[in-house]
Amino acid sequence: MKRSAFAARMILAALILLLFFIYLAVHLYNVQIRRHEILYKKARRKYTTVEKFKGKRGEIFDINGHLLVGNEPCINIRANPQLVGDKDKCRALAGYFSRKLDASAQVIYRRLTTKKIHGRKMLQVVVKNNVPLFTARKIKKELKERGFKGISFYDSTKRYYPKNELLSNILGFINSSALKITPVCGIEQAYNSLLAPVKVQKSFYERTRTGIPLAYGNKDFKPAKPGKNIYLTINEPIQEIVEEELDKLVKKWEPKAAYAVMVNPKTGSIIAMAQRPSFNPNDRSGMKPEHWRNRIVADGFEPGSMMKPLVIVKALSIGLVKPDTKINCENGYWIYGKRPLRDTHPYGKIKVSSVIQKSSNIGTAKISLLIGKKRLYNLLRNYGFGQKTNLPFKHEATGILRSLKNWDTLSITRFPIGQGILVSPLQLIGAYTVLANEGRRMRLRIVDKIEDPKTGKVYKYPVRTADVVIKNRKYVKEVVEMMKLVTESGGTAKRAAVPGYEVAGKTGTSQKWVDGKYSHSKYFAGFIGFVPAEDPAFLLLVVADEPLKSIYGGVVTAPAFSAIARKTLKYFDIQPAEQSLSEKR
Amino acid sequence: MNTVFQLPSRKTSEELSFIANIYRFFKENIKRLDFIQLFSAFSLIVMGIVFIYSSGQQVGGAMRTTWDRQIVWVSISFIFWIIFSYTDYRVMTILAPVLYTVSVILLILTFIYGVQIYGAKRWLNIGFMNIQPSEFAKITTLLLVARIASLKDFKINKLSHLGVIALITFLPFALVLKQPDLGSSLVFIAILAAIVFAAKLSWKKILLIVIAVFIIVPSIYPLLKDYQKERILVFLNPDRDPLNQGWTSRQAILAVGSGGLAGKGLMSGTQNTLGFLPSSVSNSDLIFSVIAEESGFIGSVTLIILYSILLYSMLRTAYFARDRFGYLLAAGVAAIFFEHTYVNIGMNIRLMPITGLPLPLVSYGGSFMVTTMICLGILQSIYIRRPKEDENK
Repeated sequence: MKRSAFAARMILAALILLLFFIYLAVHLYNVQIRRHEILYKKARRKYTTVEKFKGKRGEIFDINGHLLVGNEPCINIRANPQLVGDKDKCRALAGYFSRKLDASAQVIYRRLTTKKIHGRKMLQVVVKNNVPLFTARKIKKELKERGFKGISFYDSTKRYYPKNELLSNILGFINSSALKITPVCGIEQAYNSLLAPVKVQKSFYERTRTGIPLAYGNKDFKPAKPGKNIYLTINEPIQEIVEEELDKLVKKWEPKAAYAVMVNPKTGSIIAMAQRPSFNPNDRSGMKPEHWRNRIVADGFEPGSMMKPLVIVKALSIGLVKPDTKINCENGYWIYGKRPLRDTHPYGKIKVSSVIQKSSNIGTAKISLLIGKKRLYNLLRNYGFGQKTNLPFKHEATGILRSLKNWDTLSITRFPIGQGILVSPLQLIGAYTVLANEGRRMRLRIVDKIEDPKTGKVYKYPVRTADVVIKNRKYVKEVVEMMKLVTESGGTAKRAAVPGYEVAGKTGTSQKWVDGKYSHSKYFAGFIGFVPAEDPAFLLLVVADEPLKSIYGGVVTAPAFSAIARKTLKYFDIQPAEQSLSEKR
Repeated sequence: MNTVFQLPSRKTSEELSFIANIYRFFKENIKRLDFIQLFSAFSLIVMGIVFIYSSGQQVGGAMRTTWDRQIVWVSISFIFWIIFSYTDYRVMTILAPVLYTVSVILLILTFIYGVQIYGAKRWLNIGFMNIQPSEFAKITTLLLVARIASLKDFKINKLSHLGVIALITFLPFALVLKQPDLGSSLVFIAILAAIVFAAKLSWKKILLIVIAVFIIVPSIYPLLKDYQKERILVFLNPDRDPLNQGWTSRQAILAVGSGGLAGKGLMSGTQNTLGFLPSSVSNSDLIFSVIAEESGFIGSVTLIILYSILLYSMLRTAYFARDRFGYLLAAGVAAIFFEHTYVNIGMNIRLMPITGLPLPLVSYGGSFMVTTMICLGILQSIYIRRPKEDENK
């Protein structure tokens, strides 16, 4: 072979290849050195994810940890219009989603085909929020099988209320949109600042292509703080009892509204709190404001005779009367301040204890006169009337207790029989803790404790005495004795009796104030009492607003009281008092 | 105490004598070996194994141990290298037509019975493994073309003669293109081009061919398969399909670019270890991205320099070859290597569309490693048998 002939070509080839490789190196220089910063940033963006951690909203439990309001995990389905494909694909996708998700195909189609808005590329549109986990999983699988692209799935949670109507007016609800959560009422609103997750936390972390976060190199990983869990003082099984009996009451007497509150008088803890009408927070379609208004907190009513024991105990404690002091009840008709005052049944001279048992207006008014204006006013203030109970609810009614200078001559005789004074059910039951708790008014509590689900730290809401209203327990006991007579034979509320237990209670029936005068057809009927009288396990108020068929607390609400009390005592496992049983026989 | 044990010196088996012959051959020719080729090839193989190991370190997936299999393949290939270095390459002049025929038959069999993977019939199942006949066809075609072009009365500038070798390359080219495997089929063109160039086709004709190519290539476009068109379109504009076709290309350039000057360190390339470079190709077609990401500009330029050295050694082999057959063979092998290397690296940095050509000696792959080392063995054989200094004088 003549080398020279071909050697030139090889040298040329070597030079050409060298040039090619130099070009490659130059290109590499451009990519790796000159464009390094840009490309490195891009690469980093690929493997670092900015995730917004919303944190979970706190949950609400009853005192024993039964879940009342929870978060249901669900999926938000989103689409990237840039990736879903042409119009045919969009149409197919929209049709598919509308079949699976109970959504309008037209709306989804419009969203999917909105590739640009105001000249900016749309990168994400909502397909459907709050899709149940199971459905979403199925959809994800099917989409993959069918080869659809550009659909992403995001974890989310939906507020849900496992017990439906139970306690719904107290728990309240939230309206949630994609951007924010608006608490509307109840505990959800009152404790929103605690329930809401602390802050939307932005976290940067490194991840693999499939999204697995790396164990190392997570430079800025701050998981969001979830909202606090709230434990209410509510006892769910008892709440259920109360709601059930309230339903029966509503069915039987068809009042416009009805409510019941049960409190532990020794601690002021609200055990149960129910109202009708109410609503199902899981399905709020067709809900009217009157359904979700929290009447127990926001409504005022005239307590009627339920005020009487509260006043008489004061007269006893000052020593103005003794239980067996005779009071002239004027045979049911007495004129004071140029206005007549009537009793339902006429009585002559009766003992103070009978004044309560028979619920004599005249007797109570006369005792009140002995107490005097100033002391009476102070007493009523001490009971908490005219003031908020400091429960956390918004729109709490203060009721109406006129200040002393606005009292007229009639006030002193009318307020003690629960007329002209407007109280909220909460105020009334708060005042009654005085009688059920040896003269000490307890501050009402609805929240037992707050728990930080992350750290496990618990803040317990303390039990507090609001006021010592009656110093000497002896006089309270005397009134309790009188109140026991109410449910015994000759009392106004025999139907409130609970066999085997001593019930101390008081009925109340009041005319509603309608259009500037007392109505003769619209009444409040109520019963308040505690069992067992000597050592109360609970204090219970049942009120019916405008009951039909009967107007008397002793008829309408006393049976409900009895039924609730019976079941609750059984639940608390409180044994009947033996001796009182034998006495009765 | 002073008993001397004598080892049996009789050559009892044929095998022993074969091995002994090889040993003696290398011992005698140790000074005539192409150490430049050995050095660069060895360096590239080591680099390959290291980064194949690294590409197996992906987070989240099961750790792949392709690197140890690669070592096995390298060992097997090295045996082939020794045999082909030892064997006089001129034997190939006789074998070339037979080997060519066999490989064309294999390609036809592949066309009919081939195993379809990812929509392409490129593999042939021979019982215990899948082989890629196109790999072997590259060498055999080169052998036959070189054989014919080195015939005494072969005149490259005669159109009929040029037509013969063009036809010989066109047959496997068409079969491979049909598989479809655009990347590999272009290697046949490279072989033909190299032989034609080395055989001293006149500059005038070369110019004519270049002009013809510029006219023909764009007119081929409508004949391409949809996926091939798509690849080219995506290559021209990777944002066209950021999730699928364009994905690999985007991830590759991000890997290369983010490597910077010195790289992110072995097994620390985020594109690699976090799975952004698809694990199915990160140890083969995209191994360059892994190298560039983890060893940076320094590493990738080192790689290019090693390939330059290797190609230099090949061209030097051609330069010193004893005869035209050896000369053309070496030039052809250089062309195959260059094509593979350039297209592979090019597609990692968006100079070329993604075609699926592995990086010689570096990428993971059994049959490819074997054919590569056979090529190097043949070249070594040519180099060892180059005329001695005094022969020319």
